[in-house]
Amino acid sequence: MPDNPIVLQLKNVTKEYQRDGESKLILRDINVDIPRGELVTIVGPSGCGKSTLLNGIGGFVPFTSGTAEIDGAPIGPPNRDRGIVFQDMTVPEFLTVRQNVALGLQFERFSLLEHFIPFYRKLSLRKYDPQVQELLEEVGLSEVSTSFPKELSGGQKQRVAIAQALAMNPKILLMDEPFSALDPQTRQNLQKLTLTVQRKSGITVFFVTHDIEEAVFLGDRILVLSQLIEDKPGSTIVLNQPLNAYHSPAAKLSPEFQAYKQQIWDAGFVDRRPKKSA
Amino acid sequence: MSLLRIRQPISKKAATTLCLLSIFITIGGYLLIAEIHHRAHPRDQMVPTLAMLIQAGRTAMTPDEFTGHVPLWADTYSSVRLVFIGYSLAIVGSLIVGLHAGAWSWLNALLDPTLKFFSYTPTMALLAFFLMILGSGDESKIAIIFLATVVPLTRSLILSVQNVSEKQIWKAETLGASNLEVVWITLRKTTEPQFLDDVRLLLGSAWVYLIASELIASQNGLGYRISIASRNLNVASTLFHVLVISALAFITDRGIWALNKLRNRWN
Repeated sequence: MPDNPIVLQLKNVTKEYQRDGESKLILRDINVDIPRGELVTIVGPSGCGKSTLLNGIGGFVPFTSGTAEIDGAPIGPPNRDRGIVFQDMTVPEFLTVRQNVALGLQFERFSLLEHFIPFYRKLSLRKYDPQVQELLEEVGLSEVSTSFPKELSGGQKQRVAIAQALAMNPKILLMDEPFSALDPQTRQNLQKLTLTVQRKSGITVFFVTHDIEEAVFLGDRILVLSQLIEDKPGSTIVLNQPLNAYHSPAAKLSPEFQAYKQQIWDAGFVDRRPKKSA
Repeated sequence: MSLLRIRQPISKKAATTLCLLSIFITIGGYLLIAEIHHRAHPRDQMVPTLAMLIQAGRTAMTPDEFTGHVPLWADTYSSVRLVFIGYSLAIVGSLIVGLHAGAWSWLNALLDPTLKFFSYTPTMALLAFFLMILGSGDESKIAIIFLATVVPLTRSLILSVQNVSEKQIWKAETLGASNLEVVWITLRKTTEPQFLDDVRLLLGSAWVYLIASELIASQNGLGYRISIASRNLNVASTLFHVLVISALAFITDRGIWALNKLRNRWN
């Protein structure tokens, strides 16, 4: 692992969309350093540009200006440096759970021709079996390893997506509101799983959410984005919380947790638009 | 009444019964009308009875006295061969063009006018053109089948590929997939159920174009046999060969359906 303690560095990152001849500013001058091995949550109201920021870091949509670097190298098109877990349970539906988890490993080491030869496909699956099995157990999917995604619940699909991304051992794992569409119980279980897996693997996680409680519960560091108001500087506030401060469900009830939530609300969620006179 | 409720599900047993009932009504109804017509006009051959259809089948299966070939087998082989070659070329062609044009917008922009032009051109009108440049042999018929099916198959595949969520593509890229792996693994597999359904549904068109071209210019094949029979006003033989074509198309349709189920259990 490189010595650089900063895995992701954003300098003056701006994103502007052109629509019907009009430009709309989504992100303005975002400056942030993401330290290696931390779980950083990005929280903010709808439309503040959280997902745009994540898409830019993923290399899916380029930033309009500014620099974004991973381990000192400028961000390029998507590659296995950056794993991704989307909100809408995007796992290839045509593969079983086991095949899904092994997919990245196969892409990494097998040629396209070999993908088309069933013998090679089976052989490579067997080769990665121990690694895949370990990941399946880690995310609690060993029981359903031969099922197809359509046979799984939303929570299980997200577990597949997490295991699939972890198998690649990316430099940073991007998670775009991964648990927003899940019921509260499943969401809580997956939050705990994310923490366990992150602590065990030491992977850097960039976790986008609109839920303040989730952001405080999970984050070692919280990046609060507020909605951009024309002619006013956008606020990007990074709140550092001591590691492991609020990572237990019981901590959610503490006054400190509540105060922290309020601090985030004040920083990013208060409506900053000019008030219309009655 | 619950049967009037929109999308009210029915049991498997009821579905099978209704299916058999519709077949029975169609076939039974026809045979009944034919029988009544035959009794009223015993010398008329225009509405053949079951016995006349069976006789037509026997004649088709009587070996030719000069060549020793059974006409039905020879005709079926000839027609199936042409459909197979023409349609297989169309499937492979549309797969290659459709997947790539769906993936790369510039390629789609380049091919779109040509595909649209051919989709609006009545393919049968080009038969005369093909007969002139390719002759009246198999090549012109293969070309007609190919052209008539490759365009709708390709256009449909392009749409399916374009409908695959870009997140699926991004996901594959973050897992280290190359462009060709995204196209030939992620996009091909995701669109395969729809593509195989298209292949199944357009098979009927392939047969239509083959029979039509055999009716116009041919020395053998099921279409040729129908044209001979109709020239002799032999309605029984015409209907018999139509039934053979329908049976072949039905079997292939079910075959592709089963293949789709088998290959895409995930869907």
